[in-house]
Amino acid sequence: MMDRRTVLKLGAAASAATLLPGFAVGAPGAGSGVRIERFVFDERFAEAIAKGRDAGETGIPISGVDGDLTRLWYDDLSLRWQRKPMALAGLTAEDALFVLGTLAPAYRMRVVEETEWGIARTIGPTPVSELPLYSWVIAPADRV
Amino acid sequence: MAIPPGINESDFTAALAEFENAVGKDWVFTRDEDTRLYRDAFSPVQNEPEEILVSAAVAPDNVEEVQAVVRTANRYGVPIYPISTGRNLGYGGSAPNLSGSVVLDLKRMNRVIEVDDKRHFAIVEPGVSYFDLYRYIQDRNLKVLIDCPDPGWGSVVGNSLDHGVGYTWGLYRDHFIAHSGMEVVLPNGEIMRTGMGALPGAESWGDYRYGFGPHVDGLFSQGGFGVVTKMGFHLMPEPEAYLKGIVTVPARQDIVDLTAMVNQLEHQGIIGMPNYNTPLAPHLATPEVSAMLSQPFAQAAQELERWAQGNELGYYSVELQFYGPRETVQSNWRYAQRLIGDIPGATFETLHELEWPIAADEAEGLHKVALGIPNLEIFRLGTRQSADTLGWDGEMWFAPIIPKNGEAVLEAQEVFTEAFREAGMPSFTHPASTPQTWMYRAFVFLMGFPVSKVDVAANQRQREMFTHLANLGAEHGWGEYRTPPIFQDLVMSHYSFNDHVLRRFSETLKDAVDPNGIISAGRGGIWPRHLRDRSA
Ligand SMILES: Cc1cc2nc3c(=O)[nH]c(=O)nc-3n(C[C@H](O)[C@H](O)[C@H](O)COP(=O)(O)OP(=O)(O)OC[C@H]3O[C@@H](n4cnc5c(N)ncnc54)[C@H](O)[C@@H]3O)c2cc1C
Repeated sequence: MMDRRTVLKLGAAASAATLLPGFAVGAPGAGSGVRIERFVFDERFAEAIAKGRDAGETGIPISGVDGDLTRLWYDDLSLRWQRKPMALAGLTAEDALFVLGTLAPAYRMRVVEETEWGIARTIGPTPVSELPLYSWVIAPADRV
Repeated sequence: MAIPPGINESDFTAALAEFENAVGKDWVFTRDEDTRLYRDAFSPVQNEPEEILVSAAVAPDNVEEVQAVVRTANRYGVPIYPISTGRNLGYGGSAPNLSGSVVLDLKRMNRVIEVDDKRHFAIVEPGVSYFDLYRYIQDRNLKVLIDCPDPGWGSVVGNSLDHGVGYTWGLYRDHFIAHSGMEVVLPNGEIMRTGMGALPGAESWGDYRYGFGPHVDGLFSQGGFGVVTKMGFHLMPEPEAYLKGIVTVPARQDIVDLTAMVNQLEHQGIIGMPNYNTPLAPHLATPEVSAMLSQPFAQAAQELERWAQGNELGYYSVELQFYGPRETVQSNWRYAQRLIGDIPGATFETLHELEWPIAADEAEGLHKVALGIPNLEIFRLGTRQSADTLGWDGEMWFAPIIPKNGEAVLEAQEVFTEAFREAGMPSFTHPASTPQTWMYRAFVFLMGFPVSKVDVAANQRQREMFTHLANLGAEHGWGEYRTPPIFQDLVMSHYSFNDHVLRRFSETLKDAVDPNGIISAGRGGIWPRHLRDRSA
C-alpha cells in the first residue's frame, strides 16, 4: 500500500483561509486550511483516542468509531450533511476513511488530505493487530 | 477536459452548455477532481491504459431534467451512463463500460414517492438508498421490512437494476424479482411507464408488475435501453418473530441431502435465506490443514473429511432463518429438525430468537440485514477476514450461477480448486467451500478476487485467473450473473446458445430503441452498432 504513504493533497486545500482552531502544527487536520467541524477518532487505538481528546479540548465536537460507521453515519452525519456540507478531520484505520470518503461526494465533499500517520496496535480484548492509521480531512468541494 | 469518443470538441462543448441549461451550472462536472470521483475504487485495471474514465458527469434533480439531458445527448451523440448511487463496488463502481462516457448521476433524485404497509410496497426514485428508505419507514412507524444488501449505502433502484441481492425471504431478496413497475426515460427523451404504471389512473403500480403486453422491464436491468427514474418494490410485512437455528452435518457428501432438504423447506416458504458454511473455516489456514489442502483435490478432500471427523467439528453447517408468527417459527424449526434429522450425525442448535420491534441493541452482533436493518459493518476491518489478512485494496466478485443442489457444489469445489492448483495460485476454494444463496432458485459460487491500487502485475494475474475461471465455468454450464465492466463482453460471449442469438436479439433491439447508441454502451455486453466491431 505504497500509495498510502504519500500525502495526498487535492485542489487548493492548503491555500484556504481558516486553520483548525487550537490545533498544534502536525495534528490531524491542521495543515488542511479548512475549519474542522468534527473530529473522528478510532477508538480501537490509544493514539487515536489521545488525538480525539486533544481535539475535544479545543472545543471541536468529536466522535469515536470502531470501524463500523453505521451509527455515526445514520444517526448523525447523514442528517447534518443533508442540511449542509461540513469539514471533518480524523485519525482512523483505513475502513472508516474509506467509508466516509465514499459517502462524501454525494454531499459535495471529498477527501482533501490523507496521510499515513503510522502503525498502531489495537487496544482492548483480543485479537490484537497492528494497522496503519490515517490522518485525513474531508471537506466541502467548493471550499478547496 | 476529456472528450467522449466519436464526438468533436465543439459539439461536446455545446452539449455541456445544454446540460448546464437543463440542470444548472453547479451540477455539471468536468474538472478532474470531480470526474475522478467516478473512477471505480476497486478497479482491477487501475492506472493501466484499460482503466475506464469518464469525461464529465451531470446530476439532474428530476425527471424533466433527465429528459432534457437525454435529448441533448441524443442530438449530439454523447454517450451517457446512468447510475443511481454509483456504489457498485466489486462490479464496476460508478464507472461506465465505455471510457469517456458522461455519467448521468441520479443521486439527487432521492424522493420516496410512497410506502404502503397494508399492501406492502414502496415506490422510489433512483437516489433513494437503503438507509433512506429505512429511515422513511421508521419515521412513520410503518410495518414493513426492507431487504437490503450488506452495504446499506446502495440504491434500491441501482442495486436491483444490476440484479442485486439481499438476505431475507426468496422473493424479496432477489431485488429485481421484487420490483413492480418502472418509469423510464427512453433514449429519445420520452417517458415510459411499465406494469400498471402504464395505465393512467391505476393505483396498482406497486401491486402488479406485469400490466398487459410484453414485459419489457428486463431490458433496463444490465442493459442500455433507458434511464430508470422510478421503480416500485414489493416489501415484506413486518413479521412477529424471527428464529435462527444452525444445523451441522459430518460428511462431505452430506451436502447432497442437506441442500435437497433445505430446498424443500425454502421452496415451500418455510424458511428465509439459508446460510451454508463450514465449521472448518477457522482451521483452514493452520499449517496442518493447509498442508492437507495443497495436495491434489481428491486426496485433500479425503484427508480433510477424516480430520474433521476425528476432531468432531462437523463438515458443513447451514443456518436456517424463520420469519412469521411466534408459534409458527417454533413449529417450523421443529419440522426442519425432523426432516434434516434423517442425515446421520446431524446436530441442531437454536441461535437467536427475536420479536419485532427489534431494538438496536438486540440486533448487535447479528447479521442485521437479515432483520431488515441497513448498515455498513461489512467494511469494518475484520469483517471480511480474507480481504483483511491479505491486505487487499478491494475486490472484484466472480459470481457464477450453479444449480441449487449438492452435486453442483461438489463439482464446483473440485473444478475451481484444481484450476487454482494447476495455475500455482493460492486457492479461494477448497473441498468444503459452500455456495452463496442470495438467489431464490440458484446458488452462486462466489469468489472475491483481490485488486490492488498499486500492484499492476498482481492485478494482471488476478484478471487472467478470473478470465480462466469464467471460461472454465462456462464449459461446465456455469455463467456469471453479474460482473465488472471489463468482463462483460466475455461473460456475454458464454451465453452463446444458437450462435449467440440472445446477444444478437438484444443488439437488434438496441439499434431500434437507441439508434445513436447513447445509453450505457457496452452494458451487459451489448454495444451499439457503431461500436460493435470495436468490441469484437
Ligand atoms: C464488501 C461488499 C459487499 C457487497 N455486498 C453486496 C450484497 O450483499 N448484495 C449485492 O447485491 N451487492 C453487494 N455488493 C455489490 C454492490 O456494492 C451493491 O450491489 C450496490 O448496491 C450496487 O451499487 P448501487 O446500489 O450504488 O447501484 P448503482 O451503482 O447506482 O447501479 C448499478 C448499475 O446499474 C445501472 N443503473 C443504475 N441506476 C440506473 C438507472 N437509474 N437507470 C439505468 N441504469 C441504471 C448502471 O449500469 C449501474 O452501474 C457488495 C460489494 C462489496 C464491495
